[in-house]
Amino acid sequence: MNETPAGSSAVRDMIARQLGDVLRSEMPAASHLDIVELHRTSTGLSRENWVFEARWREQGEACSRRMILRRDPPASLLLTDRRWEFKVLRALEQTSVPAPAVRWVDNGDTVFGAPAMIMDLLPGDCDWHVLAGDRPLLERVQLGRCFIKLLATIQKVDWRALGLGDTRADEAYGAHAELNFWAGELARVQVEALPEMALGLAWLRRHAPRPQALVLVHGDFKPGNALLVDKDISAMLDWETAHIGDPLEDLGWITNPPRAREQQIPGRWERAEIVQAYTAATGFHVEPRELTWWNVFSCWKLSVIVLTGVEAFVAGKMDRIYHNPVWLFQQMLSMMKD
Amino acid sequence: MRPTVTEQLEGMCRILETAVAPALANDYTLETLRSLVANVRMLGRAWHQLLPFLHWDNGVMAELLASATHSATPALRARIADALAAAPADASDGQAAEARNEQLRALLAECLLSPPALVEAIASHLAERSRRYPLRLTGAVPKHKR
Repeated sequence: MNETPAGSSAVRDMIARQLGDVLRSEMPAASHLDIVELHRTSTGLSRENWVFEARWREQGEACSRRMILRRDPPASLLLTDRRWEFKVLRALEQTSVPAPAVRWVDNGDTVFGAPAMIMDLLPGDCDWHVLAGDRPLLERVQLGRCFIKLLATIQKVDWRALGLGDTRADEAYGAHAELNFWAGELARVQVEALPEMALGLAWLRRHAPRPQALVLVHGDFKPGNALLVDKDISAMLDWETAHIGDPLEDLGWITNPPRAREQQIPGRWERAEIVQAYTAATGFHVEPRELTWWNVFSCWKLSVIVLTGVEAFVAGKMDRIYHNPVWLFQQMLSMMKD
Repeated sequence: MRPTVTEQLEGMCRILETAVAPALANDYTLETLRSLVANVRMLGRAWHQLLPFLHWDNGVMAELLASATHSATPALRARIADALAAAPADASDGQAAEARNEQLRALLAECLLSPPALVEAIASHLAERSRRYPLRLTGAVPKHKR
C-alpha cells in the first residue's frame, strides 16, 4: 500500500514545508520563499513526481521557478540510485544534450522520508505515443529522425572526461555487465518459477556480443521520456538507468518489436529506416544479429522491470497491479528461435 | 447464481466508474482507480478460462518432464518422478491446479540443460503458453505527462 495516497492535503502540506526548508538552505540569498501549486502528477511509474513553483525575492526582485521533486515511493519498478542520476544530470549540463538542471539530491531519507531529488521543470509536453498520434505523417517521421539525432548526441558525449566512468576496465562494460546487473534484480524480485526467464538468460549469456565502443546509454530511450515543444525535443528525462555500455543497447530498446507502437511509424519509420538513420548519425556499424540480441535483452530486461512490479504488488507495497509479462515472453522466445 | 461472478465484476467496474470516480479530486487517485477497474474488467473476461488453462499447461508440462528424465541428473530425475507419480487432485480444485502448475514450472526451469531438441520443445510450449495465458493486461500507459 502506498503510504502517500492521492497527494492528500496533509502529505502535500508536509512536502511543501520540507521543500521550503531545503530551498531556503540552498538559496541563502532568497527571502520570502514560498512553494505554490504543489501537486503530485499521475505519471511516473518508478518515482513520485511532485510539481511546484518556487517564488521568492532576491535583491529586491520577485523571482520564480517551476520545479519538480522526484521522490522514491515505498515500492518502485526500478531500484536506482538518486546520487548517480544527479551525477549524470550534472555532467550533462556541460554538454548539448537537453536535460533538466538538477538543484539538490538526498540519497537518504532524512528530509523527505525517502531518497529524493529536485530539478527544474522544463517546458514541453510528453506524449508516449506521439509517433503514432494525430500529427501529420511527415512531421512524425521528422520527429523520429530527431530522436535518433538526439541518441547520436548522447552517444558522442565524452563520458570519461565528464567523470562518468568508474574503476572498471573497458572489458567489464557491455552485454555481460548488463546481464549480470539485471539477473541480480531478477533474483531479488522473483516470486515464482519462471522457465521463460531462465531460458532467455541462458540464450543471452551464450550469444552476448562484444561492444564496438563504449558510450553513455540512456537505458529507457523513448518518446515517453522526452518533452516536446512544438516540433522540437526540449528535454530527455528519466536518466536513472543511464550507464556506460554498448552503443547498440539503446538502439535495441528503440527497435524492440513489442515497443513498435511507441517507437515506429508503420511503413515509414520502421527498423530498416531507424537503423539507417542511426548508422548515418553515429558512424557505428549495426550487425543485425547483435541488434537482435539487444532486442531479446530489451524484452528480458523489461520483463524484470515488470516482475519487480509483480513482487511489489504481491508484497502489498504498490498501488498498481502487474502481471506476468507474457506479451514480452512471446516476442522474446520468437526472436530467440530466428 | 445471479448475479454471476462476471456480472458482479462488471457491476463493480460500473459503480467505481460512475459513483466513485467523479468524487475523486486528483490525477494520481483517478489514474490508480482507472488501472484497478481495467484489472477487474480483465478478471471478468479471464476468470472462467483459468482452470482449463492450468489443466492444459500441467498436462503438456508433465509430458515434457517425462521426456526430460533420461537426461536429468539423478536428483532431478527423482524429483520429477515424485511429481509425476503424485495422485491427481480433484479436477475442479483450482488451488490444487495452481499449486501443481507452480511445482511443474519449477521443475521445467531446471531442465534447460536437456538435449537441444527437448529444450526446443520446452521453448515451443512456453511460447504457446504465453499466447494462451488468460490474465493478460498489457497496461495502458499514460498518454501525456508534464
